[in-house]
Amino acid sequence: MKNSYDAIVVGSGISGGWAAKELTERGLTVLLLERGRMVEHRKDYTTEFKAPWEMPFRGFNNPKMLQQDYAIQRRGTNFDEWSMPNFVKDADHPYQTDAEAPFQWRRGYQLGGRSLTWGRQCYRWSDIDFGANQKDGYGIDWPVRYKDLKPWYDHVESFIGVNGTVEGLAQLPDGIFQPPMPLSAAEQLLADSIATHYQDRKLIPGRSANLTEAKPGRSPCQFRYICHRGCSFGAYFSTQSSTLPAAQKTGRLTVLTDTIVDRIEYDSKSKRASAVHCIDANTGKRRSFSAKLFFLNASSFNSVGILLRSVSESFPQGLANSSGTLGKYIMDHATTLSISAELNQLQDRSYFGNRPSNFIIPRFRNVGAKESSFLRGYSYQGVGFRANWKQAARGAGIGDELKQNLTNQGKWRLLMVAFAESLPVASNRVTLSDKTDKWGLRQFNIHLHHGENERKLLADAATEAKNMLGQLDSKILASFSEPEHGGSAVHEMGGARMGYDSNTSVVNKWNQTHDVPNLFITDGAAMSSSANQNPSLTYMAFTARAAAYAAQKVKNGEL
Amino acid sequence: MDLTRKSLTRRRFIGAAFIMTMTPGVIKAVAGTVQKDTAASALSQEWIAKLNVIASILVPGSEKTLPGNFIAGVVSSGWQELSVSQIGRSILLIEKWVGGPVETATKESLSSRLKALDEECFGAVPPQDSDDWIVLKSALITAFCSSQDGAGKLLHYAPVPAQWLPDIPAEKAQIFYNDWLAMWFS
Repeated sequence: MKNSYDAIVVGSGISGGWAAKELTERGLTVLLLERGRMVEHRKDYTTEFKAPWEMPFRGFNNPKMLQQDYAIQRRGTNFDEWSMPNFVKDADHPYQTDAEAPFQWRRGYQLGGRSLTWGRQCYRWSDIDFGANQKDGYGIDWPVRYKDLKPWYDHVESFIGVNGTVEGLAQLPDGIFQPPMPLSAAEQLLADSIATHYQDRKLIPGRSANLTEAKPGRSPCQFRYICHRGCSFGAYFSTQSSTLPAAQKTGRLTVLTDTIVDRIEYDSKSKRASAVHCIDANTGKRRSFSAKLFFLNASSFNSVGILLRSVSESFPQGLANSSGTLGKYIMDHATTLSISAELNQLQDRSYFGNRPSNFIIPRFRNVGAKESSFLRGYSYQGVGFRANWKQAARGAGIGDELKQNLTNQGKWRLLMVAFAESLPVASNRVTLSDKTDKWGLRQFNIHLHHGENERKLLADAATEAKNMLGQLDSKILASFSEPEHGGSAVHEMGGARMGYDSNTSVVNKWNQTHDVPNLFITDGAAMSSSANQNPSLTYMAFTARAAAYAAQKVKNGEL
Repeated sequence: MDLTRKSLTRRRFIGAAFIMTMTPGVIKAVAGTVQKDTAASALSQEWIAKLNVIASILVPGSEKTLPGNFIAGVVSSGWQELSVSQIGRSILLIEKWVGGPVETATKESLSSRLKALDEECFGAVPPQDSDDWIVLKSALITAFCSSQDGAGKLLHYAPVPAQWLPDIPAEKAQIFYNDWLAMWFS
């Protein structure tokens, strides 16, 4: 194995896979470094086709073991007995956080990272989002607008496959969509009711990276909704199903797993990053690789951590941190279950299959002029389904009557979860702790508290959810307005924010660090605001755009 | 289930909200006295046999899947909030209602007494030890419903639906077990 490449990409998740694909397709030799184990498409999805009775705990897992080894991961969406290998064992990857508001850091350290377990919701950001910081003064202005990202959103969506509907909403730009996954009867009922009673909002099918039409090497969705185990059909976007095969096809990709990047070396003479220093996760052995170009895609906090560890005489506070903002302004959507309701209607309607998506009610607050007592906005994602055999298990009845009831569908349930924009504030930050992990690397201190604005957003979301469900013949079962702890949305962002000014930001409009021209950060770390939309599609668009820019610079001999 | 605010996440919120509606009054602190076998970490063969007898009355035919044996293998993990002592209390409670060992009671007698106990436990004013039965009942049903006979045959588990039909007549919906609903709303 050689030690020098045109480019090194750190991290093989959603954005790292894209960096590898774009850079190799543009002629560069790329070393893709992944700290976790190898996961080979199809072959290593070892639980994918196991029926519940084939699992040791029938899919309901081992509570005692979970408490010991997966105390944080277990609470996350998409974590279950089948998908457990795709999440880190918390006991092996400690970090420090506040006791009163502990950050819930959900991670997947393996080839493909969290692209194997992500929620697959794909939403473009609009100029309402890219202009928000400038408008209200929180954070710094984004040096890009929607027009800069639009061709790259097009590029990404065309490749990954996103299903959805064209709606013409200013706050949620339309994309290049495959046919949608339609609403269920209960969801359509709510959509119709909202259309009747409100002019400012709309319920539409979710936009998800699950194929409804085949792509080369990938089959359409089989409606199992077990994506997080890994999908041998390749029906949802993951590194394994999509970007990795594309990069490998070029013959210019080298993949190295079980390799943790400790730090990046800076050459003060050339004023360039020159090498990555790595640790073999299994043996502890150290080795280094050099390149002309470095892309950090290790996930927001891990990318920041690599830079914070990369201290030198030139950068005593961490590489590319002349602004002193590295690690600051981290965000995660404030989220909670705004409503759970039971319908007294539509008992004669049902559905077939398990749709791996949801509905969405896009943001409707502060879309035009500021109209509320809070800044920015929120959206809902929700689902309507009929209760299953468990409703019989939790009520009175035994014998043949109970057995019959197990095969009766319960009433429709409608759930709506709000995702509220998180304001970028300096006090929310990642720093390095004095404690170390088993590889001798300093652990993170993660401090993220949702503020008053986030609380107001979720309070309004709860009120509005009750109002909307109140238009139906329904019974409200639960409604919450307090945000869950930071990290619960699994949308952590920021820490190396993008901006015009090298004194106040880490990367420029090309995701290129102001201080080190051959160093790019294109994962969530570069985000300067959070919007309310799921961010992964935007990470991909930024990554493809930055890779094209960087590859051209390399070809021109400028990097 | 710990329903304190700090323990709840988005996913657990959803599950908790679901459960709270399905069984009003069920979620409450587990009270009651451990009467025997507190120190035991495994189920005895006698208790396993009793669980299978109880299962045969609870869901006729489920005893063929040996839910008691399955539970014996997972009880030490706290599966479905079970513990050996809790199972012991449940068996004692049931046998108190039945008036003797479940394995020697007639099917009719066991069925009528279990029905009476069940109704009282799910009644407006449930007895203090009702949770013991409610937890065991739910676990026995879950053990059966997730078995090959339960999920695969009775509930028509379909691992690869291959299509999404968003709006069909309810009587045509014949898939009653899927991993998504079972896990996310457990």
